[in-house]
Amino acid sequence: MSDVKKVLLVDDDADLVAVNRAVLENHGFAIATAYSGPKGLVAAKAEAPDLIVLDVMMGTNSEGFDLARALKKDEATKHIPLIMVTSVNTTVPFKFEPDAKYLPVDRFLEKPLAPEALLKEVQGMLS
Amino acid sequence: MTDRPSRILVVDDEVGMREGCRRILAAENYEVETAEDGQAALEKFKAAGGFDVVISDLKMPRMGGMDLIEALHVIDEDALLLVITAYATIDTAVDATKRGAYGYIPKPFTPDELLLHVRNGLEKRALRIEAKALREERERRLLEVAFERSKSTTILHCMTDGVLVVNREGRIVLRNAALSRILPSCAEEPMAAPVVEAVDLPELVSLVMEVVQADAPIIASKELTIGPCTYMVNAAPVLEPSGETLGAVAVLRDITALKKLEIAKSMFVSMVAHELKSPLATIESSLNIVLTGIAGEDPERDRQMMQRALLRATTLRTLVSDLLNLTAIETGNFSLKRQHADLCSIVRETVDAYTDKAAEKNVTLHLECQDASPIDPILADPNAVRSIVTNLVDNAVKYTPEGGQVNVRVDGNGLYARVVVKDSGIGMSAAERDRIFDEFYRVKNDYTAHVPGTGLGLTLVRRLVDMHQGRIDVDSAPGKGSAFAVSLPTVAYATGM
Repeated sequence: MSDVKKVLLVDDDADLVAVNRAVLENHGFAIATAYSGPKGLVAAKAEAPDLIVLDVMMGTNSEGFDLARALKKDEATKHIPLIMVTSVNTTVPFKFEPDAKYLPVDRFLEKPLAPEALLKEVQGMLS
Repeated sequence: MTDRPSRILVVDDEVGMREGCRRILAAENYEVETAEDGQAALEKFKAAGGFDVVISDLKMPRMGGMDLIEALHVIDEDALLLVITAYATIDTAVDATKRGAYGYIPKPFTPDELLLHVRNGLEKRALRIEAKALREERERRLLEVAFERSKSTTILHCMTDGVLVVNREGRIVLRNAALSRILPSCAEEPMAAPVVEAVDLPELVSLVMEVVQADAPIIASKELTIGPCTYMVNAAPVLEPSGETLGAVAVLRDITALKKLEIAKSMFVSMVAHELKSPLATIESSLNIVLTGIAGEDPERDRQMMQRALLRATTLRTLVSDLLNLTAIETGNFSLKRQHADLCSIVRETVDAYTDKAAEKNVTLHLECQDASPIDPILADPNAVRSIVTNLVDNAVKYTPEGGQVNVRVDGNGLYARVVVKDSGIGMSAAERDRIFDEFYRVKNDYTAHVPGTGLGLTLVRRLVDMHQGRIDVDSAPGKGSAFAVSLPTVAYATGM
């Protein structure tokens, strides 16, 4: 069973989480979910996932950023790769790029992201 | 000057002389009066409002001719006096002329001599009157011009737009008060200072100089930022009637408010686009996985997913119609059709429509309407009230977890009728409560992540309540549920009866 990789999905849109969960589960991943930044941090520690997929725009406009920074600071979670999926680039007039200090994520993907595109990213990072 | 006969006063202490002159002059159709001395002449002159010519002897009792000249000129500086004298000497003639007489006739004289002198006098008087009229006209014109100029200057300085005029050499020839406010440093520079030195704003200088130096008349426009403000600057040539450029006039209009509006508008559009995009992306993904089978075959799960997608699509449609309603309210295209309405029956209809939805969620929906003591009718648009109540009941059912209760009560105090929608739901913090009427604001937490919403429902409710001069009160605490109370004026209160 240790072969089964666990993915934590953090997004305030429960329907989107449900869709992504269905796709990833169907391809053999175990799924944990959280619907806010603070809950995401708690889940990351409790579930010890192999990968976290998170959204930027949650309760506040920076909740995803805050979570990413908090995860990378925490000894228990800093090694977990992060995929940030967001439409923030279409909402603000400047471009976000992964950045060790301000945006410590491994992949930065534009929403809307087709389910198969997310699946490929997840498979690529966990292979 | 006029068609009336010229009026002549003959002053002499000899009655024969007086009557002789009268006859000669009357024969020529002059209007003639006589006086026996200077004093009597003065009184007649005052009483008659002046004569065209006064013919006077020099030596008379009481007041002689010389004194009469002076006295008459005090009353009328243009009065014409002709002296007749029995002892005409050069000295007396010169003396009389100095004092203001226009001529003299030595006695004895022929009728023709008298008439000639009178005609000369009348001509002189006509010329004097004409000259005086011309002088007055000129003075009036000068006053008018001065007034026009001060009027233009006043208007120019009262304008809210800044005005700057430079001549062909690019030197400042005019600037109004608004310009001095916009560019205080320019106000300190002397007139005729080169604009290049006086105006510390290269873009404005080059705009003005571009117009001054252009071969053909051009109008140059540009948006300039000066401090915290944005100005629209239009520079046009000042042209002579011949078409030659004399200089340039630049008008600076403050468009800061318009700019802010523009920014607010694009922010709003961007927010709307975002609000539309997220649910659409979720619907798209749901359809995608069902159609591609990428999530495997599970008919029951697919059905649930389609159910959720349908719900999201419905929410999107509500969002669009809420947006249209809000826009209509904001552009003034939404008018209330206020009429006598019964709040109780509108609330009852709405609650009835939600019974199934609440039961599905195992939420108890209870209505309290005092049928025994009817609520006073309100003056309101029934459709708007329905929209208000629907939004409140919908929210209460949505944000109340299974097993909870929603209580709807209607009451009134004669001035207002009130609907209170109270739930045992998730509630919210004070900070969240302060923002719930903002466009697109939604309380975000683990519970609301599963509840679709537009973030516009309460915005619309607030606008509609405001349009009715009503009020909305919110009482809420996290985990303790929320109570929304909307009060709308009764017919009696709204019409002041």
